[in-house]
Amino acid sequence: MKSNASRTPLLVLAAILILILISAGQHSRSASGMGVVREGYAGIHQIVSAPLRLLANLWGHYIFLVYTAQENDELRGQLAELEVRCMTQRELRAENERLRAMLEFKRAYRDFRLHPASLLTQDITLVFKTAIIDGGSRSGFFKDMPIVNPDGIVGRVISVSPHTSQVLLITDPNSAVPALIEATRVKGIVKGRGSGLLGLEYVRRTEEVSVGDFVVTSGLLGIFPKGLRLGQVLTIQRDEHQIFADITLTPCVKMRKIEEVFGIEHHVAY
Amino acid sequence: MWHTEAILAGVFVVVVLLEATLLPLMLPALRVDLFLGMVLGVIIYRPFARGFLFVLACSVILQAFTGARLGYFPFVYVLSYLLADFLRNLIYLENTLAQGVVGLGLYVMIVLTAAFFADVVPLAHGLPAFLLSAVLTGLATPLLVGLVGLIRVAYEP
Repeated sequence: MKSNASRTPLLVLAAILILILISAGQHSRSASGMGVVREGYAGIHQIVSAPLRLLANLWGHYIFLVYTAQENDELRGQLAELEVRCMTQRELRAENERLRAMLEFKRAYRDFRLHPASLLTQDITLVFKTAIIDGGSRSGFFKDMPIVNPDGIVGRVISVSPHTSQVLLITDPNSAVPALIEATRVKGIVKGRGSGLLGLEYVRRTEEVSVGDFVVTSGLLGIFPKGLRLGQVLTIQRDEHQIFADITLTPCVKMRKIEEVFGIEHHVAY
Repeated sequence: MWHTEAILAGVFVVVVLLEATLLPLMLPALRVDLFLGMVLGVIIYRPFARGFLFVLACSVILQAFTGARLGYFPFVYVLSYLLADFLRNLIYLENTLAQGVVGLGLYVMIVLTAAFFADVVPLAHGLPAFLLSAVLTGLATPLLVGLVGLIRVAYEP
């Protein structure tokens, strides 16, 4: 039987640590220790993925070809090779289309300085929606930098370390972005609902809003450039006892399929 | 002396790699909590103080991979640890089914606590994802508990 006396110091230690962390706040300087963890993780990620890439290369370029030589079946070999080529080309085509979309996006926003980055990890909880990208302060990323992809707004940087940044996605319940409906210019605030959907809040129930309308950033507060797509109206509920309508949006960006993103340079005029 | 904890720390790194990178790639809508299995494992197979310090340290590190308020993860995992320790006096926690049920229950508690603090309704739109994540966590928990047990046997025969 464990004695309660030996547990008390541990519980006091845990309570003190938790209180210090909670009072320090998520975005304070004292939270920069989390950046050290993320830096370490980025290193481990590189180390783990390197042998996997090597194995993939060995399989694709050596072992597979040896197998076909041993088979000594010219037709089967050619067929297999063609299938592999076809598969590779499909992947290349998809990559090409993705990169072309990004290039066109870059041309459309040539007044902005865009910093590319790739997704490293996603939030480990079901409720919160953040992601870690492989661009940090050394690549020009900074706190509150808007993160976008060709489909629209992804989120903003909330924490940055030399080689990684933590991004608060617009679907996170802590996210709020000033917005307006593209067609009618009705203003509101887009908030994350923690379930992958967004809500457009503070829009009066008498305002003109239709299902399918696009909602874009309004440019207020100066964090996000004006006119970038946030979401599309999915449902509208107007309760006559409420001042505001309950509007649900689907984000324009498929948050589960993010691969490459851009950080928009803050000090460029827009 | 601390060999087992060192190996468990290595397992924890793999758990983070799985939770933060691999599983979200394979199952984007789901979030499986593998660390809960380790929490139950250290409750069963490690001395209370060592397990407590291990869970506390790991939960602080896990905090770097979420947008939850700083301090939230140490709070819920230490709470889970103490709750599991309490349950150990009531039920036979070495039983695989009991581990699965406790893992599932703790997962539900953690998600609902997070939703409460974040002021969101987690079941409003993502009920299937939530339930499936909870079931998968419940299934994974005995595996992780077993792994902790194997490590203990290997390093402290």
